[in-house]
Amino acid sequence: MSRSNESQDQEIVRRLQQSMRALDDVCEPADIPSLATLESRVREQRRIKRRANLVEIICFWLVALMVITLATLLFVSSPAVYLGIQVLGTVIAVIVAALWLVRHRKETMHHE
Amino acid sequence: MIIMMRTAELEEVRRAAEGDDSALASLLQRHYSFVYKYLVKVTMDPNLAEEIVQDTMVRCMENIRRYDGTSAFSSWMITIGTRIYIDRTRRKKREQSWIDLIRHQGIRRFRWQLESRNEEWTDVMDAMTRLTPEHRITVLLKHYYGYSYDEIGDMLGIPAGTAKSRTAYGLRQLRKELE
Repeated sequence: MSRSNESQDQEIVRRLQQSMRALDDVCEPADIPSLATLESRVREQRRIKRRANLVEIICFWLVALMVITLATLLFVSSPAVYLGIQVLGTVIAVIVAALWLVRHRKETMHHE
Repeated sequence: MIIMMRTAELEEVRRAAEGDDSALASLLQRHYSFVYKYLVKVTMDPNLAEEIVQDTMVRCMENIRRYDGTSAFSSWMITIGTRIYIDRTRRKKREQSWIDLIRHQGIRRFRWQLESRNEEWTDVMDAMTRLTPEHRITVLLKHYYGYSYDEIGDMLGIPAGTAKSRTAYGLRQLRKELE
């Protein structure tokens, strides 16, 4: 970077800081919630989260039990199909992970 | 003094994480204005900043246990606010023309608000509105809030080198706009 660009940048940073400080001085939130309001929102939020966690755990166990039951039945009735599904599942998981990684890298490069 | 304040804040965060509602409410209230002012500069739209600050408060309530104390609580909050804003802009990219229209209205409203309070709408403010959100955020975090590139990288979930190149590009754009 040339010396004139560097000094221009310093000048821009100085003006930027001045303008942003002016915004800080002028802009105040229309309404800062009171402590009591925030406390009741926090309580409500904790209640919602506890409920969501409970539902999530129940769903997880239901699905897990179903999967285990189906897998056991399949393994007992036809082990070859069971092993085939396991191998296919692993291959698909690896492909999906690789595709996600490539897409994520492209997005990161695009946003730079 | 700063160390004592930081220790007191960490103690308050610990109580909040353990389920003390008033500790969490007090932390959020104390930082509300700071986060709002940061978001006004990031969005350049007070109404949008108001919406995002409320979402940020809810996200902080949900994730208070994840705050590990390695950065200041205010930095953690503005990280959350920034990510909510970036998510919103990315999610709505398909509706770009509609979003641009709303953004321009927001900027015009903001300018009017400032001028009606006898505050000058500077050419730097105008130039900042023309930067992309990603560049505006890195320029602000680096040159106004004084974060390092490593910290900005952590906040935005990008490598420090990317944070540095975005900041340099943003500053170059500002220089071009102001020429």
